[in-house]
Amino acid sequence: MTASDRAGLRDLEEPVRLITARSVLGALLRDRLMLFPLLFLVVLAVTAIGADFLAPHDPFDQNLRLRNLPPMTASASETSKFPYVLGADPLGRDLLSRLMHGARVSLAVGLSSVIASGTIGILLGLVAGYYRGWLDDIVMRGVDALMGIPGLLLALFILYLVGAGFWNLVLVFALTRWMIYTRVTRGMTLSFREQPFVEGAQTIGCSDSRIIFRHILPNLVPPILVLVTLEIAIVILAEAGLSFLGLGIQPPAPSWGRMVATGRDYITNAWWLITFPGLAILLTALTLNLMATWLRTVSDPTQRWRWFTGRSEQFHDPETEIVVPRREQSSRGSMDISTSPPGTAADVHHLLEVIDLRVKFRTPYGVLNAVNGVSYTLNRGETLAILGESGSGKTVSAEAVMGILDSPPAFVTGGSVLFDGVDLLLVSQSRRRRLCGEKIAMIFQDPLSALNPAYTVGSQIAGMFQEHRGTSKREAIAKAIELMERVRIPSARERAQDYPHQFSGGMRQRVMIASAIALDPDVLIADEPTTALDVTVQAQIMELLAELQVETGMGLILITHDLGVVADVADYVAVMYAGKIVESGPIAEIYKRPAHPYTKGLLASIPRADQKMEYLQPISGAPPNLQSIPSGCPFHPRCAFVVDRCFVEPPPLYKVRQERSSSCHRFEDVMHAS
Amino acid sequence: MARYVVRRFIQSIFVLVVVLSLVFFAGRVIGNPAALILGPEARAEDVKTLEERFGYDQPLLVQFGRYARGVVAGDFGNSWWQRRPALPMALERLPATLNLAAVTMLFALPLAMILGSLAAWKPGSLIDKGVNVLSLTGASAVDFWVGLMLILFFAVQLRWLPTSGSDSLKFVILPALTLALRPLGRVAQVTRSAMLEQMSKPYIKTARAKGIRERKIVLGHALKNAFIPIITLSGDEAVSTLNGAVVVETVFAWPGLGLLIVSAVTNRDLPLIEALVFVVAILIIVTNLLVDLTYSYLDPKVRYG
Ligand code: SF4
Repeated sequence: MTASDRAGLRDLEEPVRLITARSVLGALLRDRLMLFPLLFLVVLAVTAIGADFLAPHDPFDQNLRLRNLPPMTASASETSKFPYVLGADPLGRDLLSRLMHGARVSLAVGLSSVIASGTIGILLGLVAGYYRGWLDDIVMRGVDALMGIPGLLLALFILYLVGAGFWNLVLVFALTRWMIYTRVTRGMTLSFREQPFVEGAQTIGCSDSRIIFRHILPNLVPPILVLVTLEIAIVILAEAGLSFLGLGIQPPAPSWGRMVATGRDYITNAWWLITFPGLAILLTALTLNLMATWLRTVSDPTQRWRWFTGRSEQFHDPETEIVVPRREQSSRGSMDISTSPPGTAADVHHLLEVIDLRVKFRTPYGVLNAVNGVSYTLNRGETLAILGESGSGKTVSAEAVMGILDSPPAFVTGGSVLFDGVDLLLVSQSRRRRLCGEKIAMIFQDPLSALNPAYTVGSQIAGMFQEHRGTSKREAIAKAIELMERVRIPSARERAQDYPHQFSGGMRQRVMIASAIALDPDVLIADEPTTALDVTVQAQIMELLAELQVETGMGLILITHDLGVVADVADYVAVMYAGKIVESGPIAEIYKRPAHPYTKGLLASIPRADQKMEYLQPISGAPPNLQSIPSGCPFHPRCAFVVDRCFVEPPPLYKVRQERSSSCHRFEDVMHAS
Repeated sequence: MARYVVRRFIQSIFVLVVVLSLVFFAGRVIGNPAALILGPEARAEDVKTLEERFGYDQPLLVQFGRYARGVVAGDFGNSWWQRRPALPMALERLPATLNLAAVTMLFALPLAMILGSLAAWKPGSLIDKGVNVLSLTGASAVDFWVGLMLILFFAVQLRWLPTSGSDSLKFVILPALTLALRPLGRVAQVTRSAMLEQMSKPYIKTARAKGIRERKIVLGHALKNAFIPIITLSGDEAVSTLNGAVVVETVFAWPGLGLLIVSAVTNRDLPLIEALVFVVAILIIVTNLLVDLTYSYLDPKVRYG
C-alpha cells in the first residue's frame, strides 16, 4: 500500500485544473479511444444493477448434470432455454450469470468502501490542513504510520477481529484506505488556505465550516475524482484477493475472487473456471486505471503534452523554413553587421560567425518566437557582450550555438553557426558533441545547480579529460587539481574531493570556469556568470575571466542583463530585444552615444560614475510577449522616440558607421539626443 | 550520519513497541480470542473454560505484563492450531519469503530502472509507451489470477515448470514473475519521472556543454541523482511484496510467511498472529533502515551534513 499511495500522490500533487463536464466531453472527442473503456464501465454498471433481469440463468441454480460444462456447449437444462455461453461451474451453475452477479458484488464493495474511506479521509484532510497545529500533527503522524504497514496484512488482521462478510469488508477498506485522501486533501487545503479567495472569505466573517465546504472543497474535486477512480480499482482488486483467500465475500454469494479460488481446484481440466472471472477483474481494474490516467490528462494539459510529445533529435524543424545557404545570407549588404576590427574584410574567416539564427519554442500554449534572426561574429581574443533583459533571447541563442537547447520544446528553425568556417547546425550530432567543451565551452548563471550534486568537483573537472582525451582517472584528477589552482581555489588538492554543496558561490563558479577552460577552448560563452554571486565576488570572477582570456587568447562571449558588470572587460556589445539584435558595436562608442532607444534606456537604468545619479531611470513597459511580438518595430510600445512608421515598418539593421549598426528608424535622432 | 542511523534505530524500537501493544489490546478488547477460536455457535461455558485455560479471563494489565515478558524472551506462547511455540513457527517461514522477495526484486528493480531510464531518455518513444502500458498492467494485475494463468500455461499446458513447491531454483520462477509485475511497473514509472526531472536540471545542460556523451549523461549523471527517489520507492515496494506474498504464496503453495499468515487468520490463532506481527514488523523496520542507509550513502548532502 505504501508504495502505491506515494507514487499516486506524486502525480496528484501536480497542478490540476478543473474537470468540467465540458472539458471531459471535449477531451473525449479528442481521444476517441477512451470511448472503449468508458463503454465498458457503462456496460459493467448496467450489468451490476440489472443482473437479476439480464442474467440468463439463476446464479444459484445448481444442476449437477452440468458440472464443469465447457463454454459454448448447448444447453442441457430443463429450466432455461439459454445456452451456457461461458460454461458452468463445479456445481453446475451458469458461469456467465454468476459473473454478472459478481460484478454487482465487486462494484458494491468498491463504491461503498470508497465512499466510506473517502469521507473519513477527506474530512480529516480538510480539518488538518485548515486548522493545522497539533491536530494536523496527530493526523499526519497517523497517516504516515498506517501507510508504512502493508495494507493487505492490516486488512487480514482486522478481518481476524471482525470476521468476513460484505460490511466487514467495507469496514476494513474504510479503515485501511483513508490515508491517501487525507494526504492529498491536506496538501491542497494548505495551499488554498493562503489563496486570496479564502482569506477574503475569512475577512468578511464566513464561518470555518462554510469556508471549508463552500470555498475549499469544490476546488478539490478534480484530484479527488482521479483518486477515487484509482481507489475503486485498488479496492476491487483487494476484495478479489481477500475473497480468493476465503476471507472476503462468503459463498454462496458470487464473487469474482471466490470464483477463481473454486476454479483453482479444477485448473487441469476446466480452464474456463479461472479464466473468465480473472479476466473480469483484470478488465475492470485496467479500465478504471485507464480512466484515472486519462482524467488526469484532462485536468492538466501540461501532463498531456508531457505524455505525448516525442523528443526529436532533429535540430532543423522540417516543417518550417530550410536553412538559408550561407552565401546568400551574408550578401545582404546593408543588413550585414560586422563587429570585426577596422581594416579586415567582411568575408574574412571569423572564429565564430552566427548568421540569422532563429529559434522557436513549441509549447502546448502556442509557439514562442524566442530568437528571430540573430547575427554576430567573434574573433580570437575578442570579448563580445550580449546584453538584454530576461526573455530577450540572449541565453537561448547562446544555447543554440552550443547545441544544448532542450528540444522539444525548442527548435532551431533557421540560420547558421559557423565555427572555423564549418556550419555547426549541419554537422553530425557526435561531431557537434566533440566540439562542445573541446573548442567551445560554456559556463552558467547558477553554479550550484549547474554542477552535479552527486559528484565531487574534482571528478567533474576531470570528466573533461576522460571524455575528450581518454585520460586515465588518476591523471585526470591530477590535471583537475592543477586547473583548480589555476582558477585560484585555495587548497585545491583537498577540495577536489568535496561536493558542490560544500563550496561558496564564488568558488563554485571558479570550479565551473576550471572545467570550461580545461581543454583550452577557442570560445568561452559565459551566461550571466556573476548574477547569482555577491557584488564583491562578481568583480573577482570577471577579473579571472579577463585574465584567462588574455592568457589563452580565446574569444569570450559574455551574456548579461547588466552592462555595468562587463563594461571594463568587453570589446563589443550586441543588445538584444525580442529575439533580435537591435544595436551592436564597440562598447566604448555605444556607451558614449547609443543609437537605439532601448540601449539608451538600458544605459540610463544603470548607475554610472560619470553621470549624476538623478538620471537613473528604468525603462517603462513590460518586455514583449514572444507569442505575439508587436508589429513594425517590436520596441514601439515602450519607445520614447516612436513615430507612425514604427508601427508598421520593421526597422532593418542600419549601418550607423564603420562598426556599428542599429535597428531603429530614428537612430540619428537618438544619437543626437545622447 | 552515525547519529542519524542511531536515531532511526531508537525510533524503530519505539514503533515496534507501539505496534505490538496495539495488536495485543486489539486482539483482546475488540475480539475475544476464545470465542473467535470456537466460532459463533460455541456455548458460553466452553468459551469460559478456554478463556481460563489460556488466562484470557485475567485482568488485561496482568495479561499484558505476562505478554511483555514473553515478547522480551522471544516467547509468544503456543500456536493453537499447531500446538507448538509460535515464534519459531514464524521464523521457520522467513527464509522462503525472503528468498522469494529477493528473487523478485533482483529481477524487477534493474529491469524497471533500465526501462524507466530509456523511457525518460526518449519520451513518446515506443519504449516510453511500453513503460506506460507496463505500469498500467502492474497496477491492474490480479496477482493470484496471473499466478494461476502462469501455472495453467507453463506448468499444465507446456509442462516446462513445476506448479508449486519450493525445492529448487526453478520453483521460484513463476511466483517471482507474478510478484514482480507490480514493482516492475511502479519502479519503471517512478524512474521515468525521476529521470525526466533530473534531465531538466541545469547540470545536465552543463554536461552537454562539456561534450559528455549522451549515454553517459543519462546513465551516469542523471541516474545517479535519480537513484535517491528510486531507492526510497524500492524500499516501499520491497515491503509491499509482503502484500503480494500472502496471495502468491497461497497460489504456488510456497511455504513462506504469507502462507502462514493466511493459515493463522483462517484458524483464528492469536498467538501465531502476534508472533507473525512481530516478525513482519522487524522485517519492515530492517528494510526501512537499509533504505535509509543507502539513501544517506547516495546523497552527499546527508553523508557530509
Ligand atoms: S524604430 Fe521607432 S519604435 Fe523602434 S526604436 Fe526606433 S524610434 Fe523606437
